[in-house]
Amino acid sequence: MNIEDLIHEAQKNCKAAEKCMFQMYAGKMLTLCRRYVKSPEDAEELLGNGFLKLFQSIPSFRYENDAAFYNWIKRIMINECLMFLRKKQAFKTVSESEAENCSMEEDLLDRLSTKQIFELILQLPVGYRTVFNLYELEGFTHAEIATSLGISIGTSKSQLNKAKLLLQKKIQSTEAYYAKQQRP
Amino acid sequence: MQNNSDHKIQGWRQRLDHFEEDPAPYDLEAGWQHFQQKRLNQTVPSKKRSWYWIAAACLLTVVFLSAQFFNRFLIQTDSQKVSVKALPSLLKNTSTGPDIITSTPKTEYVLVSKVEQTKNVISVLMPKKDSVLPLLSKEPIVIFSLPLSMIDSLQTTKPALVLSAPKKLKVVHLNDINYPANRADLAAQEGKPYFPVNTPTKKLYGNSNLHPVKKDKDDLIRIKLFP
Repeated sequence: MNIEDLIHEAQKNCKAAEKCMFQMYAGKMLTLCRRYVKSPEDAEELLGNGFLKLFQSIPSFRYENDAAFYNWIKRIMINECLMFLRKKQAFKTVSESEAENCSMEEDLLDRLSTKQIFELILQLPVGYRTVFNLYELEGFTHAEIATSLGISIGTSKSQLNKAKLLLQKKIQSTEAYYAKQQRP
Repeated sequence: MQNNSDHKIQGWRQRLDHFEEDPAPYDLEAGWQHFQQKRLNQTVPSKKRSWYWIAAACLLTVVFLSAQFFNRFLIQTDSQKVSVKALPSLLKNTSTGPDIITSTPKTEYVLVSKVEQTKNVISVLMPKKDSVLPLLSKEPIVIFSLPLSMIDSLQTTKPALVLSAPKKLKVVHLNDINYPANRADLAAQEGKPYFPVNTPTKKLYGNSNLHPVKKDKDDLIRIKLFP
């Protein structure tokens, strides 16, 4: 059964289609939630809330293609995560004067595996991590991030730069660690 | 160079986007069961909420029905009384009509009907000054607001209130009235016995103390103001 059929069945309140959909996307969405909230328990809770919203609003969803549906699910999950973080007041605001232009060495990321990058992102402070996730991975603009998180555009930029600097340091230290490990 | 950088960023973005932790820290079957439980818990409050609404609606219905019942009960106990708002002059004319009990002496009167078994509300409207009905311009209009079921029974029984129009007197000049000056003559004309009654009249005094003049010569009538 393809995704379009699954969506149509789920729109008719078919439990089997819903279960199939859950099993298809739960793993990826849990990883996505963990990128934002870090704690596995909180991530599972957010995953459940996200799927509840998904099945509530699926009757009004119009299928275009698989990617659009995937992005739609992702957007629901990201919104859940942002709501959770806002409730917890997890964002530390940094003044705009601290914002610096920072460029990351892309080669650094190439040298690491996806899992290693994921682990490093999880080590970032929550404010940096959220802005980094939204800007670098989800492709949001600073204006969109500022609106979603209730912060200024300058704060968003500064958080992103600090996140990049910190990530770079962490990657370098990780590389050094692996280099030491590889040396006999 | 820029394109190369963008391509690299897109590359690891894609990698992270479709990255799934392996081994998955999440049992999908257990996760689905947990999700179903959560879904069930989410729907229970909405059911509870609907029950609250139903209970509130039932309570309102009970209150409304009890209010209706008590209202009807009060009407039945007070069924003999009919309230009328009218001028006192109007009610004075109804000497042959039903008994009149004045509850409020100034404007409001309560009629007790001997015939009616249910409540009848009689409202009396005074016509406006610029009314087009010249004959009824000074007469109050009585409107009986009765239930339709009572109309047939009213036709067979005595009407509750019949208002007679006050007699209109003909306006004549004083000279046209051939009023006898003497009351004894008037009584004689009508064939009635006459009993003379001494009515007290004003006592006139002359101010002879101030001006001692002879009464026969003085034509002035003087009123004694002080004893």
